Amino acid sequence: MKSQQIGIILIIDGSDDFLWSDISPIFDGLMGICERCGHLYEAISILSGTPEGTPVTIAGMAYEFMKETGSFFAFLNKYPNLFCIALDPVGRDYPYPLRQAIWHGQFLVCRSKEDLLHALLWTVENSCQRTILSPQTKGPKPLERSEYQLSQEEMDALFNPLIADDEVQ
Amino acid sequence: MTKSNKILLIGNAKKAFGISPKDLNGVTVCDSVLIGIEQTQKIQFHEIFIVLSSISGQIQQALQTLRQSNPRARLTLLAQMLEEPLAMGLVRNDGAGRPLADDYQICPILPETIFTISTQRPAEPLTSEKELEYQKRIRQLEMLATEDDLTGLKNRRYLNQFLAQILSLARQYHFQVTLLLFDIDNFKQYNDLFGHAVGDDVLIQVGKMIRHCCRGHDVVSRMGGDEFAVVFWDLPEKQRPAEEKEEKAIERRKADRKHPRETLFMAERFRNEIAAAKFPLLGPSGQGKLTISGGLASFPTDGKTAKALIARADEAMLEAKRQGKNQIVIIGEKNNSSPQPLLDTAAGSMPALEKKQESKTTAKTNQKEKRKKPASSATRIKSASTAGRKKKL
Repeated sequence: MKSQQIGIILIIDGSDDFLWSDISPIFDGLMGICERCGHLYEAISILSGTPEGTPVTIAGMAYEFMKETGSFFAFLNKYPNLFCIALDPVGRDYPYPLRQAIWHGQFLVCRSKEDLLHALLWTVENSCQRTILSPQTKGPKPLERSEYQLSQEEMDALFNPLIADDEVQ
Repeated sequence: MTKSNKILLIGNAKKAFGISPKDLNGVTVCDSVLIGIEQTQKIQFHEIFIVLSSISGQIQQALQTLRQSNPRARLTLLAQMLEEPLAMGLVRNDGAGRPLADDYQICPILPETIFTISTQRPAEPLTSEKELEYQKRIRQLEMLATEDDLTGLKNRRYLNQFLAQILSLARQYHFQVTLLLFDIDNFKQYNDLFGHAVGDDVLIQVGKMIRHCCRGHDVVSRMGGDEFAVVFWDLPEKQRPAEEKEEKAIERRKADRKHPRETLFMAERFRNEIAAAKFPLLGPSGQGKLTISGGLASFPTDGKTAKALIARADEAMLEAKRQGKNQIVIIGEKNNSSPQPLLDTAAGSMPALEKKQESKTTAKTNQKEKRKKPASSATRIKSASTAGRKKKL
């Protein structure tokens, strides 16, 4: 029952055991909600098999989320209960669809492994709170999304303020 | 297995078949592989077709996931010409169990083909070693039947089949197809002077260069000897109305002529690349010695069948030879590309060859001119397909 309330956390870790060894001890007490996946496609497969409305968090290296950028964003739109946490130590330049997802708060970028662990813990806590606060007992409230869509220029100004300033000058 | 098999198509159907997904009745169509994976979690499909280019990430991982979701489904890859080696690798059984995909088809394919494939297949996937070995042998035979041994390009048989297939689609969906036929000028003399092994190497290099200059979906083949062919095809930007006024029809015919001109750029690029390329086996200053002459003919303006189109392109190629070689001619249009001076001719690494070929060319051109003056266009086509083959210019 508990896992139904909190949802599922999918860790994309492949075979390199980069994230899993750090994450699994933390979620030891929440057995069954945290699952390890080999890649994005496997995560999507598991996500598609979950009951409708289940909050799903996918955490992994940033490049995993960029494998199918355009269609992945369509997926984020389709599943408002999907939340992604990407570990990006190099600070990638994200394509427009993923920037939209960052703007909507559905895609979080962390610079370090520690940040990612904090974000995961926050997600679990937040998910529990949302479940408790939700007026419907059936399930948790979906993530609140801003309806406002940013244009490409606005995105550039938001994500690359220095470049945007240079262009103005 | 009947037409009621559950069929899933992942990818851009228009790219694969040249038609709207609405025309694929009874087929579940998903634009992206992620949506396709989602679908396989909900429905157990019998047949899954995947447009290879629709997977932008890790193909192996995506196919593995599809296999796990629908283990009983047969996976067929829809690949473009350039993607064929990749598709072949994915289909090949590496000895570690079932391959990532069961089969592949080269696009565009007729929409009916997917129903035929679906009905002809056994319900159970082939899993035993013997069956997989049998499948591997079939694939090898297919390869032998459709590929040119020397250059690895498609062979004449494949080109004829493909041309008939693409023209059938073009007739149905009103799109343009242009055929380029070209050969290497004076190739026979190169063969005689440097030997057949060098000649073969030149053919391989030319094959690689033409493949590099064309788009992924264009079909490049070696027709035989030093003669090559390229089928350029482009899907329509918009559907044409069923009935059109005469002025519109004239405009359309003008627009139709755009296609061979656009493909002329590609052919010209290739001709220039060849002219600038180094062929070290052709002596110390092999650069700029090799030239090509080619002819372009388009469907539907110049010919409506594969045979007619080949004949018209051949006629244009002969015209290019008559006009002095080293050029590409669009059938019905004169002086499409002027012959350019050969590079480094002053250096003259092969004076004997040049003199020899000059005298031969002049003599043969004169002979041809004499023969051709009273002949009609139709006669020229005939002579090109019979005598022209044996007595190469």
